[in-house]
Amino acid sequence: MSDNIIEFHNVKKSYGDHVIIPNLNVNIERGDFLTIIGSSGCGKTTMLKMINRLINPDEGEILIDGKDVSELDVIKLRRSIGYSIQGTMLFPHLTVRENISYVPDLIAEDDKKAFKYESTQDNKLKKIKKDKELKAKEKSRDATKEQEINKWLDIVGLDYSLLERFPHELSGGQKQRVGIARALSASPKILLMDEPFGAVDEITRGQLQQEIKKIHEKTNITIIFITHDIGEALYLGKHVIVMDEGEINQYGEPAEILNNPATPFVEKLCERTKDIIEGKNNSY
Amino acid sequence: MIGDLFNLFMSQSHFFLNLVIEHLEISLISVLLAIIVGLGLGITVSEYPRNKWILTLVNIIYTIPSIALFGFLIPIAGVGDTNAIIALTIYGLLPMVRNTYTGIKTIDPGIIEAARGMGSTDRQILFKIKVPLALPHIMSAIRNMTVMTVALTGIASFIGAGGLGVAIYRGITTNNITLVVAGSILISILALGIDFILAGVEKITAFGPSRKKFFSILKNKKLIAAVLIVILSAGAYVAYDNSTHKTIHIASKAYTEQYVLGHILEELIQDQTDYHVDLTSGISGGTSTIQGGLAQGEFDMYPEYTGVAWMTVLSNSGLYDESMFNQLNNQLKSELSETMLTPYGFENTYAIAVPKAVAEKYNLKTISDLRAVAGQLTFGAESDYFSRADGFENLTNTYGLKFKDTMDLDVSLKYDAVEQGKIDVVEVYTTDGRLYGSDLVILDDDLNFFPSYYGVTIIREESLKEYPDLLPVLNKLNGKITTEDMMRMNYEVDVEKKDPKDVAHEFLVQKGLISGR
Repeated sequence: MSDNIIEFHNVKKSYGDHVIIPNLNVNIERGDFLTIIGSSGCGKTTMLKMINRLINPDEGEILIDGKDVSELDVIKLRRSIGYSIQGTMLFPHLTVRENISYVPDLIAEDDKKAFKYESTQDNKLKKIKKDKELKAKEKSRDATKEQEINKWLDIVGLDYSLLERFPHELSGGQKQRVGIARALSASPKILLMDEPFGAVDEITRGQLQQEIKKIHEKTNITIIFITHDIGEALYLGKHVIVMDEGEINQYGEPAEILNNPATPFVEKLCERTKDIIEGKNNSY
Repeated sequence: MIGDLFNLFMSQSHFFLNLVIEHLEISLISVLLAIIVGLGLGITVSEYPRNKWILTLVNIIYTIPSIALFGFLIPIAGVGDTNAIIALTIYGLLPMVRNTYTGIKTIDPGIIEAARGMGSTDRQILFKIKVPLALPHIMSAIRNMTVMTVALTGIASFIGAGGLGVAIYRGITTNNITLVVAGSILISILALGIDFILAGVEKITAFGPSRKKFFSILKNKKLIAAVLIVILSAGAYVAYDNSTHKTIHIASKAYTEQYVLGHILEELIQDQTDYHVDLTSGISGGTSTIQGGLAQGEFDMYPEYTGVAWMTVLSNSGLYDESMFNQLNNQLKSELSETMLTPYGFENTYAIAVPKAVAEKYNLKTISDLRAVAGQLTFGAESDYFSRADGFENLTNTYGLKFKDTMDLDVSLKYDAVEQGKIDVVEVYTTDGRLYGSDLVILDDDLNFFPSYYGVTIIREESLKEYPDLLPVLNKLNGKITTEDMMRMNYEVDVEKKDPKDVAHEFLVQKGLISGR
């Protein structure tokens, strides 16, 4: 039996009378780079958002590491999952540094609160000791935070000099890289990406695709990547899911999708890009 | 004009400085309250859509004319600074609530979803994302609202609050244009100055490096603590200063004679006792507003007239004459716990006057003579006169007069209107200084319609007990101010443009009531 990080069991979701996902069953392997392709409205974004509970299913269950997500603390769950969406949605009032360290800062803030609460339960002597401990902890955290930020900048290929800039002072490609660094900064084991490169030019997109592939190889994180571009899906994915009207048409490796399309929909989707992709594969 | 202004500022710098400080106090406290409450409401409305009615409510309140809002609040908040601050705060709410709401609602929903998807709690989304992103909207609301409030505070003197409106109002009621201009200019300077400062703050809070510095300053707890300590100790000092000295609150109505009388009372008490005196002069709501203030203990005393006490304060019918003084005083004591002291001596009764030319044309000597010609004449008086029990309606009924037209005029504009021929018959006071210079002829009250109006101090009985040194000092004024004196003092203020305070001082020195300096 393979090692599944995420499992969908009989998941159903509808909005009013409109059924988006009738019955979804998928297992996602640990360390996979899974791309999901489909036309807009096919339910791929809904599927993604059910993983970090931005959307809750009507029926069925979703397991992460064997645990039902609906029983997990939603805030902790989301902080343990990287999330990157189209247009990057960087926080315009925060610098690159503050954007990247957003989630680590949230975690640190809550830790501090919990620690302080704990220390109110203690007697005075213990409290003084704990306060000292807290200060030391913060100091070391600040130091590691600095190192972490630099590490992620290196990984996404950004210059340190950009740290104090605001998002509106960055180019489109730089913004995407900051967006990825922000999604990765709390070292999540899962990274959800919803058409992250949808709004950048072709050349930048190529660079970013190579970058995310490298990041996946380096970190061995599980990536679930939504796109409506079959070329991108086949190039990036270790596995590809083709979705249509809330149902999975095919789930397989890129070569399999390309060579043995399971349904006419998959075949039609592949046809136009087949030649280009084959050409690319040959050059490898 | 500019020379007059300069002289005015130089000679009364202390007066204006006090008004500026009061003005800033009232407007800035209101602004601060409006920011806090407005932000809170704005956030509530945008976070919980079912609270949208709040937006509608503040919108409706905003459409109430400011003067009316001040008036509405009198029964609840009384007269004075508190009322002004409440009204100004309520006015400031709309821009704050609306801009906070708009600022939060116009944030790209993708940004909020990103924040949520990354594991922010609702609170964190609000304070780390929504409020900072709405800040430019909020800052521009603060800026507009502050300028508006500083300007609007100028009207607050209408209900007895301090501030530069006092100068403007006094200027209008004593026919002193220079004073009106001076007050207005200072309000403009204050508003523009504050707008300038806030424009700087707005720049700092816009996205950019300086904003970061600004917020790191705000995070400096020691600095904030220091600022808070300074503010609190200043407040404590003021409170301490007020509590160690007993303060007598004097009110006066909004016309020349009352300004002068207010200052006479003020200076006499200041000179002869250890009490602090707080004079609120020029309360335009008049008798009923001041009586309300007395009932709530906001004022201790004010100069009144026997006839007004009889008719307006106690709503008695029938004609008042001075033989009924004791009866009147007993009634004040039993019904209102107020008492009259011995009259000052002068009588300021109402009279009906016409220009000399009109008198000659129609051969008018008594009010009864008007009956035949009233249909061709326009009658003018202040609006108060048309609503008062002893006013216009009774006068015309008693004498059987039917005027062609009537005109509501501010007291100080009456003489101008006569001069310009806009009114032919005018109601005047017998002590009015402007009677001196005018060519008005007083018509004889042949039916004895007008009651007796002797000037007298009305004081709360409780205040007399609380401040035992007061009575002997106030009694020094008994019979000291003749009708001639009062008319002359009014003339000095209205025509010679002297400051009522100086006129009051000169009078007290001349009568030997205080030592001259």
